[in-house]
Parts: sequence; C-alpha cells; structure tokens
Amino acid sequence: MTPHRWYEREEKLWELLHQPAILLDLLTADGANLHQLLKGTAVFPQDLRTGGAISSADLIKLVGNARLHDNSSELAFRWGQSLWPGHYGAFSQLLMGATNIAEFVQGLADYSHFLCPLLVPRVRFTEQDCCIEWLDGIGTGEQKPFLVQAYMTGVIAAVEWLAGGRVPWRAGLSARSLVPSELYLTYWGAVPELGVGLDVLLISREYWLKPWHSHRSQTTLTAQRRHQSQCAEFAVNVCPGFIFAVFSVLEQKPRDPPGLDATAQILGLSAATLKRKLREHGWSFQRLQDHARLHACVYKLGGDTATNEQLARYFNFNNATNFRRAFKRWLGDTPSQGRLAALRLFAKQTKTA
Amino acid sequence: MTGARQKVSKYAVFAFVTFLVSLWSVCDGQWRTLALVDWLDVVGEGGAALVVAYWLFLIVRARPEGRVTDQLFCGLTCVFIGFWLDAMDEFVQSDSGGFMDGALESVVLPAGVLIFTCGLHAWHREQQQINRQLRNREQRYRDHTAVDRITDLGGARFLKAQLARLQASRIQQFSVLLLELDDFANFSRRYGAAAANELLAKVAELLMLNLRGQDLLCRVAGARFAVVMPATEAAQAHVLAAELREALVHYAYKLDATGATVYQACRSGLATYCGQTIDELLLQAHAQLVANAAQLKVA
Repeated sequence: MTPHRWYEREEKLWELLHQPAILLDLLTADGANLHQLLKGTAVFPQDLRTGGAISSADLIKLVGNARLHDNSSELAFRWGQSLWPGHYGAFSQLLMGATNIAEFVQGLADYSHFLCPLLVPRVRFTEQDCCIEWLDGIGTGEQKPFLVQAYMTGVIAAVEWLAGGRVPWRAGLSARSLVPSELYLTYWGAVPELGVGLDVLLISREYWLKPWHSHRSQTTLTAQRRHQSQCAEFAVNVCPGFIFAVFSVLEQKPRDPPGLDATAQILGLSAATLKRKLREHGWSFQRLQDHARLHACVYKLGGDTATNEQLARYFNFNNATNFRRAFKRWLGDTPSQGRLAALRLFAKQTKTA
Repeated sequence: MTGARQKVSKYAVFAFVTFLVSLWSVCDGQWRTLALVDWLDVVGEGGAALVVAYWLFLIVRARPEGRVTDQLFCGLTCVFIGFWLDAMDEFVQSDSGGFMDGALESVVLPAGVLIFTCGLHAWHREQQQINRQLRNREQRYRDHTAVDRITDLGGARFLKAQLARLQASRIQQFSVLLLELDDFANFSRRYGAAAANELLAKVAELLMLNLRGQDLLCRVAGARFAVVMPATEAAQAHVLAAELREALVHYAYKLDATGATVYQACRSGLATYCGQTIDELLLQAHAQLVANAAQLKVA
C-alpha cells in the first residue's frame, strides 16, 4: 500500500471552528445570511456550534461565497487581521511566544497546516531580504489572490501587535489586483508591486532577528519549549497538499525540470493519473512547470544583473528569443517588464532615519 | 414586521382590485372569437400593463410607508387598470356599449397619471430634504454602489473620484485629512467584529458632527477615515484637524455588552493640494500620518 504522501481536495482536514469560523463571523456581523454563505458546501449551520472538519474544496467554495456577499474589497484584509495568533490552542500559544519576526514566521511555516489552510508559506533569503513566499497547496484557483491578501495582512497585523509597532514590509503580488492602493496603505503600510509572478512578503534582514522585548524569563522560555513539543506532536501525520507536492518535485531542477512521465514516476503515479489529478485540482502540468520556472527566474531578475542571453543559457533555451517567448507565457509579460517589477520589489532599501 | 405586513396588504389590494375589475369586464360583456383578436394590441397594452405592475412592485418594495408612497401606489394602480382593461378589451366585447369603454378612456388612465404626478411632486420635495441630510456623506454626488455597509460613507474609490472632481473644478485649494483609530485591530480582537463595526459607525457620526457643510467624510479602509476640506487654506485645515482629533479622543464609547467605556486614541496626517496628482496627495497624507504616529510613540 503506497503511503499517503499528500492530501487532496475532497479530504476533510481543516477545522471549521478555526479560520473558516472567523470569516463567517465577520460576514454574519455584517448581516449576511449563513445559509447563503454555506451554499454548495457540505457544511450545516449547526456544525458551527459543534465543530467539525471541512474539505479544501468546500473551504474554497466558502471563500468564493464570502466574496460574493461582500462587495467591498476589504474582506480579505479584515479576515487577515483577526487570524493570528488566534484561538488555535498550542499553535496560537507558540505564535504568541515568538520574540522576533523569525520565530513568528518559522512557527507559521512549520505548522502552516493548522494555521494557514490551503496555502504554504515558505521562507527564502536574498542578499538583503527575508522573503515569505505564499505557494498554492491544493489548487486554490481564483481564490488565491484573496487568500494571499488575507494571510499577508495576518502576518503584518500579528507582528505589529506582538512587536508593539509597525515594521517596513514590502510585498509583491502575482495578480494584477484591482484593489485601491489606499487599502494596502492602511493595512500594509506600503503599496505592493503588482504582476511580479510571485506572492511574496519581504522584510529587510536587519528586522528578521531583531528582538521585540529586551528580556525573556526562564518561565517563558520553558513554556515556549513545551508549546513547541505539543505542536510537533500534532504535526506528526501532516502531509502537504497535492499541488504543492508536485510543485516541489518540479522546482528542484528549475533549469531542466522533469517531464510528465518522470514526475509521475517520482510521485508513484501513472502519467494519466497525474494528468487527471492535476486537472481535478485546477492545474495543468505545463502551467505548473512554467510556474516553477517563473519562481526561479524572478529571483534571478531581481538579484543578479542577468541579461536575457544569460537567462536563456541558465534555463537551457536555445536562444534569447525562445526564452523571451517562454517567459511571456510564464508571466504574461515581457522579461524587461518582469525585470522592472522584480527590481522594484527587491531594490536596495535606503536606511530610514 | 409591520412594514412588511403593510406592503403585503398593498399587493393584496392591487390583486383584489385587478380581479374585481376583470370580473366586472367579463360579466359585462361577451367573449370575442379568437380570430378577431388583434394580438399586437394585446402584446402592446398587456405588456405595458405588466411593466407598470413591475414599477409598482419596485416602488412599494423600496419605499417606507407614508403619504407619498400611497399616492404613487394609487396612481400606478389606476394606470395599470387602464392598460389592463384596454388589453382585456381585445378579448371581451362590452355589452353596455359605452360605460366601461368611456370610463377607461376618460377617467381611469388620466386619473392615475394625475395622482402619480402628485406623488412624484411630493417625492421630489422629500428627496431634497434627504439630500440635505446626506450632504456630508455625498457632497451632491450619489453613488449607491460606492457606499460602505458599516458606516454608510463612501469608500476609497468614492474618495478618489470626489478628489478628482475637486481637482478638475475651479476650487483649486483643498486639503485631505486622514484620521485613523489607533489599535483598532486589537479592539476588534478583544470585543469582536460586531462591536468593531458599531464603533466605526459611531465614530463616523461623531466626526460628521464636527464637520462644516462643505466637508466630505469617507471611510478609506479599516479604521482610517478621510476628510476632504474644499476651499480651505492649510492653516485652517490644521485647526479643523485638531478639532476632530480632540472630539475623537474625548469620545466615551460604551460597549453594548458590559456598558464599559472604551476611549480611542488616533493618529492623523494632513496634506494640502498644490498641483500634485490625487495619488501623490493621498500618499503624502499617509506619509504624514505614519510620521506623526512614530513621533507620538517616541514622546
């Protein structure tokens, strides 16, 4: 029997009384009808009193229904603000015990299965920044920008509360959002760079390990260790989402990613099954492969002074023209535009007084 | 509940009158052979009757009870009856040879139009009164799709549209004040979404009490409000900003559940228009707000 190495759309994994309930609370406080919000899902209103599990497909449907009922563009931001530390038992205690951004984000990333359903936060370092990428776990499709907005707001708001003040975050979004920039200014303190190809939250390295409090008692340290072990116990049987599992395989070799058959073999599936499962989750193999390569490319565009020819060689294209054509397919924009966006995002920040 | 019941009774009256009039028409005449029916006439008059019925439905649904609604209702019902009988005329030949037809042409339809016109005239005066009440929320430009459900104020898009209108107009001197509640996220966390919404709605009312007639209040996002002050010099704008801050800081908000008082702190940023774009103006105000907030923390 093949070990279960990922979860799929229909598996009931997410605790209803956690993040989904917060979203429903917000909307019912605004006067929305609970039955309308739960339409098309397998959730009943009484489940919100007793608790239960909701599948990824249902959670995505719920988010879609929520957006229909809220005509302002603010819902994602309001939801995000109330997400963390939250009331999720040991996981919330762990987040509350964080003493700097690194500890907070690490807690979020280690236990993302319990803290941020459907997306996977991942930390990556460039020369001057710490980058928190938000990757698709299970095929969130049209709802991904909403989830990204919510989770980024969640990080910014939680850090502001725990740290006692705002930190200069920067953000890059893959979607070309239609949200007025004033919303970003209010909730994030800065307008994000749009159409970058990734969803990433950046903070300058100097803030990453900067302690929020001058002193930490032995009691709090012990308590934090206890929370860590409790969380680790819960997380023993956790596995990644299907889309993230395939993406992980593809991005290991961005220069020469494996084809459909090779990837299927690595995952222990037939090529036809892989193709079908990808379709069920709203992706195609080509798109996911392009996505993995785009990821690698954006960092190179933002960091090095790589020309199109050099990038073409790096990604094993015959010439710059082929690379340009492929890049346009990956991002929906030319490499020069992509480079401008990436450079603006990763630009060297001047120190503020 | 009484409002809904009264609306239902209006629909019942409408249905009853239609039924009564149709019954009278049928009893008073004979059915025509279908071959003699002018279908174009039926579609035209019948269609018009149905459209008028729809207008009636929309108006009764949207409006509160009152004299104006009653007038509009009566007027449209008569107009509907006029068209309805006209359409029925195609199917039923009137026996009395004159009374129904006469009533139709000379009385019901024009009477309905006249009553409806009286209703509209009264509605016009009513609307002027409402416009006066909404002045600080709209400044003579209504966009119901841009209204925020929590505070009934315009949002970020409405704000930008209004600023663009000011920029294009002859009023070249205006200021924007951004006013934000400190720690609103925390308030929301502690007391819940419903209390947070209520606080925003009350703060909006409080701010409006402290505005002049020509000022406009919008809710940009979260707990951030924007006040647009047209034809206002920078110095006066600063004075107004200080007044608004004072009003907010002294506001003793009462929590519904416990009756406990929760005071609010706020931060603000002011920017005066001097030729820059609207986005730059708002960015300037935002930068000022951030700088002021940082200063207050240090102090």
